Amino acid sequence: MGTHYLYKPATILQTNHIDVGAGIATLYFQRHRKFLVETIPGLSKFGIPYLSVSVSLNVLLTLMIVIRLVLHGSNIRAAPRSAVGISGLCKTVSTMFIESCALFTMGSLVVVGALVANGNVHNPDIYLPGGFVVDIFFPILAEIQVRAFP
Amino acid sequence: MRSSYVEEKATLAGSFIASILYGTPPTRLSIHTDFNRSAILGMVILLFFQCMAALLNPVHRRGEGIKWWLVSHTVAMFSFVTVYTAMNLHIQSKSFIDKRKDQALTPTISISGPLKYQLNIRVVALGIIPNVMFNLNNWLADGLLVSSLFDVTPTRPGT
Repeated sequence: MGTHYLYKPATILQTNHIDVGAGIATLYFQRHRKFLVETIPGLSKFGIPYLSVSVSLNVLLTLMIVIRLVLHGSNIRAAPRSAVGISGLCKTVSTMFIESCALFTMGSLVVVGALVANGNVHNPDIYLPGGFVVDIFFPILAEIQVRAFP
Repeated sequence: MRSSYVEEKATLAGSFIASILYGTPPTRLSIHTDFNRSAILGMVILLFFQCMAALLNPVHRRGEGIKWWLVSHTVAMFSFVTVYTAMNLHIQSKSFIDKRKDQALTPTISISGPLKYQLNIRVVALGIIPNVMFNLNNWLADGLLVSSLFDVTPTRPGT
């Protein structure tokens, strides 16, 4: 079933490092006062890449874990004298991973979409539909993140 | 002078919804509350206590002992999100009550009042610490996913 090879999820580690770096860049450039006059959310320039990388990392990780679990379950089912009920356990764990990932992904995509809609507008007087969406959904996103309670 | 205060209302609404998500108490006072009914409100505190009960329950351990790194991970994430919520509410009360009459610095930017204060404190510790907590929580959540991916990944061929 394709499990007979040495498997290194190096892509995931690189994406994780990019995520950490983008987060540090977001926090660092928040210190710059020129951000104050550029955009109202002030997060657009580094918040968009940071949240995008975070979403893609979450989706990739969840897909890899779920595919691994599904392959494991089908391997065990194919084996003689297999343990009864292991596929149900795999299904439950996969559902848990997918549900928590979907929650975070939907919230993040709303925030990223609002930040992109704001763009690089230099005049805060212009009414922007993205600003208040970010204001509403960013604190909610912070609470959603604790989905990762084990 | 703007006619409607969409941004101000949205900021307050976001803080209120986040606080409701953080800690509305469940309808029945038990750790094993009916999860489907109370998952929408008070998600964080409920999840934290259920998670700690499951992690520290000796029935679930199967002779492995308590996984203290998972316990500390959960406690760290809970404290980060607690600090985030508390400081966010502190910023809201300070900007909407204390600094409600802040004037705009330059005439090119007509934004004033609470939002102007919130823009100003983006460069000081009061405004930065919630975002730091957000990032730390994000990294911890991703780290748990990475570690569970490594748990289910075979480390040598043929396994």
